[in-house]
Amino acid sequence: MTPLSSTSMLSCQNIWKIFGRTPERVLRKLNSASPHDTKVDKGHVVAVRDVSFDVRKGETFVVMGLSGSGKSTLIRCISRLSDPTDGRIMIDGQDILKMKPNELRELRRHKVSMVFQNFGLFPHRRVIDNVAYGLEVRGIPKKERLAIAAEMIELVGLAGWEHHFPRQLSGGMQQRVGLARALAVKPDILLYDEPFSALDPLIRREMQDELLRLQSSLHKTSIFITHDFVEALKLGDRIAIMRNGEFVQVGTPQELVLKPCNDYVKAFVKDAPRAKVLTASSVMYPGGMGFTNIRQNVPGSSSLEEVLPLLSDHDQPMAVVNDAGTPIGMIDRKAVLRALTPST
Amino acid sequence: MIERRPQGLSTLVRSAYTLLVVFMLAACGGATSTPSTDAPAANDAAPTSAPAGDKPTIKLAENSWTGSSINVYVAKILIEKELGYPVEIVTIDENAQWAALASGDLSASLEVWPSGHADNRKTYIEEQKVINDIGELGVVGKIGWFLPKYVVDQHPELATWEGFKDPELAGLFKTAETGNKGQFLAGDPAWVQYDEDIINNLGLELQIVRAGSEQAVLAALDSAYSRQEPILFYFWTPHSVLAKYDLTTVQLPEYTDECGAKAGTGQVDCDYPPDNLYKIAWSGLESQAPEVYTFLSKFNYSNEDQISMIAAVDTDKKSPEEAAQQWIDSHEDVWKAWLP
Amino acid sequence: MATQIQTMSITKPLWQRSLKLIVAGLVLVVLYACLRFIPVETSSFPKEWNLGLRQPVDQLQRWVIANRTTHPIFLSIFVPLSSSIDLSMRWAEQVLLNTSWVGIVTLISMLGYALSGFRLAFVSAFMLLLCGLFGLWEESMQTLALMLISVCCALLLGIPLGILAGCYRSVDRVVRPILDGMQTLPAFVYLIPLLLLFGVGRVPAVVATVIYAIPPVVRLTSLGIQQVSSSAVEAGRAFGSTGSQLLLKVQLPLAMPAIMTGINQTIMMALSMVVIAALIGAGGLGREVVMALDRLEVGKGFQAGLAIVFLAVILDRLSAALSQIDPLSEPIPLEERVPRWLPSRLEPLFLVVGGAFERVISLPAELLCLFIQNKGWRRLIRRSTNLLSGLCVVLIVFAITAWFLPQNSFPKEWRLDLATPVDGLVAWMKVNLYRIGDLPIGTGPFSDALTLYLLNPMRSLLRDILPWPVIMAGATILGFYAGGWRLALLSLGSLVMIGLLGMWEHSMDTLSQVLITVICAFVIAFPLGILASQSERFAAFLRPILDFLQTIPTFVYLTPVIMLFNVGRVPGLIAAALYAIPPGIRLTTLGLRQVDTAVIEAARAFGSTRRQLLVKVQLPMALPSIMLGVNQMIMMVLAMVIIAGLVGSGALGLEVVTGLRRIQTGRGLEAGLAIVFLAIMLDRITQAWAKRQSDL
Repeated sequence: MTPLSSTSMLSCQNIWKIFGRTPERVLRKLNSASPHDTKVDKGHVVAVRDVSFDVRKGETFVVMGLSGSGKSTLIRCISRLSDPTDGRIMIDGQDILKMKPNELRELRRHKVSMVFQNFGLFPHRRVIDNVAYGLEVRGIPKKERLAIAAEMIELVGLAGWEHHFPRQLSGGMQQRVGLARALAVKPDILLYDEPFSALDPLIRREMQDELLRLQSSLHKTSIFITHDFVEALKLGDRIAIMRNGEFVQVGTPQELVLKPCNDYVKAFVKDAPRAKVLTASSVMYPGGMGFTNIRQNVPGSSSLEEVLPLLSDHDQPMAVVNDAGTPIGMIDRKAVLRALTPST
Repeated sequence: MIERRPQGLSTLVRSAYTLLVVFMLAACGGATSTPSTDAPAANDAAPTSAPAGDKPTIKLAENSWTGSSINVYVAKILIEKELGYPVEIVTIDENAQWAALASGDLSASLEVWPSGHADNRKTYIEEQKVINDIGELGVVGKIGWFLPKYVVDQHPELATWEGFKDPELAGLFKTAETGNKGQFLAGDPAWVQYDEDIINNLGLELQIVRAGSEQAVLAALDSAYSRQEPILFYFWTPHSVLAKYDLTTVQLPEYTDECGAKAGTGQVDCDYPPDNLYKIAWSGLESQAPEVYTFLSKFNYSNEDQISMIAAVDTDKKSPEEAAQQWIDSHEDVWKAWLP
Repeated sequence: MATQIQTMSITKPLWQRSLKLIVAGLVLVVLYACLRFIPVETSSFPKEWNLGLRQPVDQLQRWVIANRTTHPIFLSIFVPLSSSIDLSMRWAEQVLLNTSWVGIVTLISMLGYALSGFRLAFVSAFMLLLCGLFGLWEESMQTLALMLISVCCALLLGIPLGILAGCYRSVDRVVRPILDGMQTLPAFVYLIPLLLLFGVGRVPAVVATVIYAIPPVVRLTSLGIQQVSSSAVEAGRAFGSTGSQLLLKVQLPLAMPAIMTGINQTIMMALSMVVIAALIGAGGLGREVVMALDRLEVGKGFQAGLAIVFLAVILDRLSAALSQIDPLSEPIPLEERVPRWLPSRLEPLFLVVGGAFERVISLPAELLCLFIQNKGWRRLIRRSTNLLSGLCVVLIVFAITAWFLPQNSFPKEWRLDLATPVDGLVAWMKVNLYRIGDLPIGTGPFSDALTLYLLNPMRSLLRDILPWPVIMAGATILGFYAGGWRLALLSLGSLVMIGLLGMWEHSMDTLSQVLITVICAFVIAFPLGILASQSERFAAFLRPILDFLQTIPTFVYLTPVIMLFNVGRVPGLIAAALYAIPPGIRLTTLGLRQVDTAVIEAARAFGSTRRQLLVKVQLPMALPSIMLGVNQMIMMVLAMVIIAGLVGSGALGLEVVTGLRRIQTGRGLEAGLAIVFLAIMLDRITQAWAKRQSDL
């Protein structure tokens, strides 16, 4: 897990996005009374409904939802590819919704970068020119930007493919280019709009690992959109479940798995790889000392998958310790088994 | 496909590249080759190709029929040789030429048929006074109803208009378009046509079909003639067609001035008047090139002169320029009188 | 899918499904009956309602004539514009005519080689040489110059306009109907105004060509930009591109294929104006065609027409090759390029000769690379080997001809005479095909039958029998049935405008001819299209014929058509049908070929015979494409209305011709606009219909 700072990098407050001819009027109506259907007035759709959240520096915040839940609209609002109907989006203390076009352009050129679902590569540019695009429009001299681009291509493991065109590459490789392009501008915030959903399952897993690898060294603040709950659990520091434009539940993977707030979340959690997601600290009996006959310590951050073999070897409960080695709780076979069976 | 395809290079770069090469080569070709000795089609002679001096280029209108070409080439040769003005020949529709003459884009046109241009004459010569009538050409034209001689040989009654009162005789000319009545083929819509009046007022068993163009009439005539079928149509002399086919006219009630005055009221019931062909010039030509203006005003020859050259072109397949030169060589007495 | 549709519609009884149609029919019958028994004259549109467009237009024209030489508008805009176009035209002509013919043939064929390969190089050289052999070298060069200048003007205006329309919705909305108008308004209507504004000579011809040829490039540029995948555009925006960066770095490069197609189409449109441009002073091949028409020299006209076809083929292939260059294609190794017909024992010889040849070809590029260190440049040079070697050949040929060949024009002794055999054929046809023996068969009786049994009844139905309110109601209902109330209003509006222009009777006459022509053309095109879709060999046989029919100027075959079918409505019908058949065949074939293979396999798996497959699956699924073909045929036939007017069809065509010939622009414009309104109405209705079929 990456170390998280407590400062908020990105803050969204009361975001609304309504599609239709007169969104403002619909918004005013909805603000006064709030029934729970997305269809308001004929021809209007409420895609994002009063969503608020903060993303801390270095955190990966995953928004998970099925198609039509409004998750893509939300990220497009944050990148201002479409403008929210109402709300505030603060990046580094600046409200980006109040930005003038040239300020917004500067923001996009330096601070916020995006990876797209269908890769969004420029088919007429070679890989290296695709990666250098953000630098090119920023006006970086050719030599310099090509050097940076080559470095990024190396970073995502595509060295040697610089002078190919995107369509000569496989899907996974194309998305690596998309990733390199987003990283090339050295942004503070990375927005991922379902980047892996167009890929085959195996490639997808490979790319997820790649992303975790990059993230472990780069610690970029990221917002990641997906419709795949397992992917969300794997990548997210925190996850928001979205439905009908609203956040149903926000929490760490462990919180979601252990305490789903309603049946909707439960349905997702049912198939979750609990052993991979849950950590020793999330299922332990908390408490500092006082447990006897403990012979084995496990770190609090280890997953149950790692704990299970130990438990099968030792009948005795084990102590859960924090990074400093101080015991923070106790874990036994019963606790683990209970955590691994979804509650009914 | 066995050829080797070019590779690489984005489309944009390549197209720009190609264009550049084309331009380079074009410039190169223009520079390296010797100046053309074989002049392009004569009507396109650029002003640069004639030794201009400070004399303005005279632009003569050439209309679509052979007679017009011949007049223009006779004038061109003489103006260039005897008066020393450069001449450019512009092929143009006989109606369109009026607007061009009015603005000075053209200097003169040498064969105007009065029947076809009453409106133009009124607008440009009489009202706006931007074009001058510079006298008759000398050639006399005549519009009439024509039919192949073999028809009249078989049915002598059809030599005069009275023959067409007989439904049976007129019915010889009937087609699918006209039903039971005989077909009268009217030609180019630019021309004055009283045929509807004549047919109605004389009670003839005919119906008009508008061919829309002279070419259509000619094609129809050629086709019918080759099968020796009857055909009746609007036409005029002098025209090269008369040399090609054995045609004759229908005798209509004689033209009188009273009858001619009824034009436009739908009451015309007589033949077309003879057309004294005339010449027109841009009103500014007189001050711009007075010698040419005088020369063109005096330009005048007979039907026989023109027909001899038309025959040379249409039958002997000479170019109008050659025919004109031939005539000039043998008729010095005629054109000497035109020089100022 | 086809069976699905059937079961879906079977759920309702027949009478219910056609309820709408029955009601519509009843309304029309009642309306007709009312109008018949009310003693009001309704067969022709009331004359009092005439808009009176003619007088102001003619007044404007008189004003222009009177003020052309003095008014500042002309002195400051039209005169300089006109003289600069004239200058560039003269320049282009001089360059082309002062370059040796050997040089030009080499240049164009090398261009073909560099863009596509040996085949195109050979084809272009061969066709240009044929132009020379016909004795039309100078004329071809003049026409080429006209094409060069007018296409350049069209692109200079059209591409920026297309970009604007692609980027801004509002511009698009304004430009679109204007383009529709430009494409359907007969050129004959604006020839005279252009002559008045730009003077006599090459300029109005260039302008007329530009007006006619510009719509495709504008349309396809704007379409290309609008169709750039939104993900690329969003990515561009998300990385902070400015508007112009987005346009130059993303949208334009990606729209390039569409723009190239537009350029190709613009060139073809420009070529189809060659003859009409000759009517107002353009020289070249068009003038040859017109003069041949004047003198009934069918053979000479045919040669000139063929030369136009050749130029069209060359320009078409060159521009198509330009748009098809694939930056990714790797050179095909020599071993894979051994022609199939080559005996296998000659293969080593081919490889040796070919290898040596490739060496020679790559020589200029390799030499150049010796002097250049930069890697990127070297790559560029290696990739343009063909261009460089072509360039070298051209330069060498130019140098040689400049020194050793004093004469630029094509040698007079080399002639190929196609005119005499063609004239002979026409002479034979007009005697022998007009009526075969004493039997009532042959072109003459055929023409009479068409007139009596198809054209006459249709004309009297539309023009004389049905009162105008009934026709308007019918068109409105048809519009509603095909595309809803908007289309209904549009149809009604178009017909009302035609009435207000005072062109009701002429329009109904023209409409009757158009409908009959389209029906005849369809009856021929549809079976041929089906045959072509079933047999690749037949399709290959048909293709060059269709290309030829679409590019040869109609004026070339007007004379023989009149000779065979008499003056009247039939020759126009024949000419228009010949022009309209190719798209009908093409779209029928295309539609049948495009049917999803999965569906065909499914039908086969259920044991359909070939006939069942065709009738039950392919034809119903190809219906949208076939309807589009009908739409194209209608537009083609409407484009020929004027030509028909020149050969005796009367009606709107004759009105426009009369307007041109008598310099009555107002009259021509009224008739021309009536054609535009007819075209818009028929186009929208058939398109909506085609769309309905594909939406099913």
